[in-house]
Amino acid sequence: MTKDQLAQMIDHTYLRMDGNDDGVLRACYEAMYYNFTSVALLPTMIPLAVKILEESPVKVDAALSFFRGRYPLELKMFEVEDSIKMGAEELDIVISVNLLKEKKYDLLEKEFSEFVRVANGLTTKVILETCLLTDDEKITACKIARDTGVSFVKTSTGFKSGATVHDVALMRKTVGDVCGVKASGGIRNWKQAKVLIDAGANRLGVSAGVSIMKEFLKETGQ
Amino acid sequence: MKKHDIAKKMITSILDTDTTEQQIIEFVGKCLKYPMYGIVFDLNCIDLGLELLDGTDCKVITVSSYPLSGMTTPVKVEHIKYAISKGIDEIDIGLNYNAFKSGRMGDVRKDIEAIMKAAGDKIKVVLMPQFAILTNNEKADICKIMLESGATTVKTSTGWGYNTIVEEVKFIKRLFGDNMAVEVAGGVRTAGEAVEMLEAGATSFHTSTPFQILEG
Repeated sequence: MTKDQLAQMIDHTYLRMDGNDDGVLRACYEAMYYNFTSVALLPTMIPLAVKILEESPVKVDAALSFFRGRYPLELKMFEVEDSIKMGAEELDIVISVNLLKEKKYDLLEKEFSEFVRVANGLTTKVILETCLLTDDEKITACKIARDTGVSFVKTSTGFKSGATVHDVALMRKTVGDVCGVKASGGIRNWKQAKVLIDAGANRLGVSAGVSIMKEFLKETGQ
Repeated sequence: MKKHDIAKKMITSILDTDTTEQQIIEFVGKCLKYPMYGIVFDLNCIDLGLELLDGTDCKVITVSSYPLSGMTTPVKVEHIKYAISKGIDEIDIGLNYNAFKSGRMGDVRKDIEAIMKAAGDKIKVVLMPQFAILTNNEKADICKIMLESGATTVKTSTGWGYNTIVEEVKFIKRLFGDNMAVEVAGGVRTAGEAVEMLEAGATSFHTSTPFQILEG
C-alpha cells in the first residue's frame, strides 16, 4: 500500500460537541496536507470547511441524524438536502436502528432508497451502529444497503462503541464488492487500522488520521 | 418535599438509539403511575407518545439537535414545524455550540431568533446551551440573547455527557430572577439532588432514572 492509497481511505473526522472553528480549520489543513478523502463534520461546521477546501480535492463529509438517527424520514431527508446545499459531497447518515429492531424492513428499505435518491450521485454511507445489533440484524441491514444502491455500509458513529474485526468482516462478506465498508469508532493507530483493512474495510472514519499516517510512514519507510 | 410533589416537577425520557415501540409503551405505562410533568419522545415516535399520553396531564415533549447540537438552523426550524403540525406541547432544542465556542455570538443570536420565530406561540421552546462547556460570562450572554429573542426557559444541559451543578441554577436565578425559568438536566439521580435543584429555583428537572428517585 502506498501512502496515497492509505490517505484516500481516510475520512478525517472532527465530530466534537465542543468543537470550534479553529478545530475545523486544523482538520481541513491536515486533510489537504495528507490528501485524505474527506473531512467529516457536524452540519453546523460545513460552511467553513467548504470555504477552506474550495480549491482542494478534499471533500466535506456530513454527519447526519447524529448520533441516534431518530428522526422521521421526511426530516432526515430535509437534513440531507440542507447539507448538499451547503456543499457536502459525502453523506454519512445514522439509520433508524429502531426499524431494524422492530423488523420493519420495508420502512428501512424506503429510508435507504430515499437517501440514495436525494443524494443524487453523491457518496452515501449508512451507519448501522453495529454494537447495538445482532449478527442477523447487521446482515439484514447490509443486504438492504446493497440492494438499494448505498455506497458504503459503516460500522459506528463513534459515540457508542467502535468497529470490530468481526463486524467489518461480516459486513464485507454480506455486501461483497457492491458496497464499500467503512470502519469507524475507536481506531486510534495504524496497527488497528491495518487489521480492519485486512478484514475488508476500504474506508476508515478516524480522528487520529495524522498519527496513523505518521506510524504508517515510519513502518513502511516511505 | 413529598415524592408526589417531586414527580410534578419531573421530566423523563426514553431516547436510546435502539429503543423500540414496545419499550416505550412499557416505560410510559410505569411513568403514568406518577403525576409527572412530561415525557420526552424522539421526533420519530411522537405519534406514539401522543397516543400513550392522550387524556393525561403529562406533557408530550420532543427534542431537536440533541444531544450533539450540531444541526443547522434550517433543520431545527423544520423540526419545529413538524412538532407544531403534530400538536405537541414542548420542544427542547440544542443551540449552535460550534458558533459560541468560536465566539460568533451574532450567529448564536440568529439561530435563536429563527427558532423563536418558527415556534411563535404555537409551541413552548426550551433551549439547551450546555452550561458545562460555557464560562459564566458565556452563560450570562446566552441567557441575555435568549430573553431578547423571547425565549424564557433555559435547560442547563442536554443531560448527555455533562452534569449540572446547583451553582449554575443559582447563578442564572441571581442574574435573571423570574424572567428566566431554569430546567435542570444532567446528573439528577436521587430525590435529594432533585430537591436541591428545585430549592435553588429550578422550575423542573430532567432525569433518566425516574423510578430510582420516586421509589428509592
